[in-house]
Amino acid sequence: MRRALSLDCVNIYALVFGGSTCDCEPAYRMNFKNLKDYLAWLYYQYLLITGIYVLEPWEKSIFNFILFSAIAMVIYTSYVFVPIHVRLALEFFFGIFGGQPESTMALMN
Amino acid sequence: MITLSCYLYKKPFLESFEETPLLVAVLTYMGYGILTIFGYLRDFLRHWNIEKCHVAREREEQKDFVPLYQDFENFYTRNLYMRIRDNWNRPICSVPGAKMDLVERVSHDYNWTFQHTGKVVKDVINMGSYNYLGFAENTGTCADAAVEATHKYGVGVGSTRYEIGNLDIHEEMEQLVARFLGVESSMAFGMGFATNSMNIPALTGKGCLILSDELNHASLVLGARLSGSTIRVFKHNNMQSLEKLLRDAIVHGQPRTHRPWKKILIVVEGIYSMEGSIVRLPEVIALKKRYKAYLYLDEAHSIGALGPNGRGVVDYFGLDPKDVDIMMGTFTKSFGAAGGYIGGKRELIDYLRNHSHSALYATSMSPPVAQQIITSMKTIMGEDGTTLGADRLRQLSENTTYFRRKLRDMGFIIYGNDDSPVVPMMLYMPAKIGAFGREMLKRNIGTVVVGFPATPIIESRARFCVSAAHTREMLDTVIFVFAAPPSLMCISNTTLSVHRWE
Repeated sequence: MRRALSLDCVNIYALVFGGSTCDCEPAYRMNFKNLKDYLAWLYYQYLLITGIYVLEPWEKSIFNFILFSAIAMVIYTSYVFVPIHVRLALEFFFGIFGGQPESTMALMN
Repeated sequence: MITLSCYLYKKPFLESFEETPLLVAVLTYMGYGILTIFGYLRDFLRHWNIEKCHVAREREEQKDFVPLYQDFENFYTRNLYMRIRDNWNRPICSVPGAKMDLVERVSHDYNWTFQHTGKVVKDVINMGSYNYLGFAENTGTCADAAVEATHKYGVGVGSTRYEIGNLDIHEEMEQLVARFLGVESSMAFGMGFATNSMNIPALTGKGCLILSDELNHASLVLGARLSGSTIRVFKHNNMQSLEKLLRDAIVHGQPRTHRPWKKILIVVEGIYSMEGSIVRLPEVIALKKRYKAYLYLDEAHSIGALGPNGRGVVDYFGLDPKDVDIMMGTFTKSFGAAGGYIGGKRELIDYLRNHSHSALYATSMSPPVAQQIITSMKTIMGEDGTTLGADRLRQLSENTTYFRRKLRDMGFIIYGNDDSPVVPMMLYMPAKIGAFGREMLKRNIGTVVVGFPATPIIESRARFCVSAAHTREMLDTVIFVFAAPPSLMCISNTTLSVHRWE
């Protein structure tokens, strides 16, 4: 028996603009019977917002392929390079602050 | 300057045109961008014959001639309109009343051609017809009277009004229209579009100035251009813009010679059908009187639909019909017939009878149509002895108020005045235009969706026309579609909504 999946869809304005546009936002409760229906609804919204809904199936496949390969490349690149860059940045900044007392001491001596 | 204009209005004038939310605008442009890229891709494939081209093309032997089919101008038609074309031109096989029957059709090549399956979709709730008072019916007094008129006069007239096509039923109808509007005299024409486009050239010419609203109908724009007058456009329903144009026109005169204009004609509409807004008639009349201009009022959608007695926007504001110089309207919307009329002073109408292109060259109105107008107008005025007219007027205003209030409470962006029976609901994104039309048809509701070029490119909308023939249950069925969870589609919710829906 699957639980009813109910979500409060928070207005995306609040997410993007930090809730500064207005203080009374509509929130509607969606009651989906199962996860599959919710995913189908999300895919439908994606089709509508990007405008892919009107295209023929092969055009939809081309667009999805390009978009998802771009996202996959972004994820892979961030997985490979972000830790290295963060480590180098931290070393650079702590190097400045850490190295300063040593250099002034050397000058005085 | 006309200030303190609030005292001109007897009741509150509530109109709202909410601005497009920024995120929605960005996403809409993005959607159009993606579809444009795919449009270029498909054009490339068609040009290199990789895929079959359904569009008209010149023959090989004519490739060096001046092009007959402008390829790029049809880009939007080929690549966007064609994909969602099944939402328009749907064949109807019954009376387009509150409910109608549609011929079912399918397309196997993505809307380039359609085939009829042979089945009929029955009892589709009609939210698209301009059937404001419910006179689109094939039973009842109007239909019976029209049948009698057909038996008496036949259907065709076979001549123009000027020559030998002037029947006594036409004279009776014109006197009735003049009495209905409260003017001295009126004249009727066979086609509403032709009424505007053929009569404005007869009224103005070179050396005259036409001040027309930004969102005027194509027939008014065409008539203004055909007349050869100078046209200046003022912002939609914006009285400051209109006053500024009037003052500039009077102070500076004609462009190079600075002579005074021969006449200044202000052209406005009663209800603007794409926005659902009502013209600010008291202010326009005050301006017209002050600056001595003439007023042409096109009441195509508002006659019969507004006002406590159904006499249009003049009745709605409680003004004197003699203040409007030329009252034009159509019989197509509230009277269930076809054609247009112009009402005004006797001298004006006599002049038009002799000088209008439509009177001289167009075939006159068909007798059953004229009889339908006579019967429906008498019903609205209450002269047929029943209260049917008053009931329908009341039902229309109740339906309008209920429908608009419900949609607004649910958080949708609705344009226009609170009293107008035309309800445009904003959709914005190109894919939602097609999806909305199809989803509503699946649920047996027929709607009209509008996109570019009838509206600005990001402001596409679905337009509902509330009718007196709609019962509360039908309106509830339509509203329930949006309320049923999971929501039909994330149609843009208003940022001003204060009601929480759960």
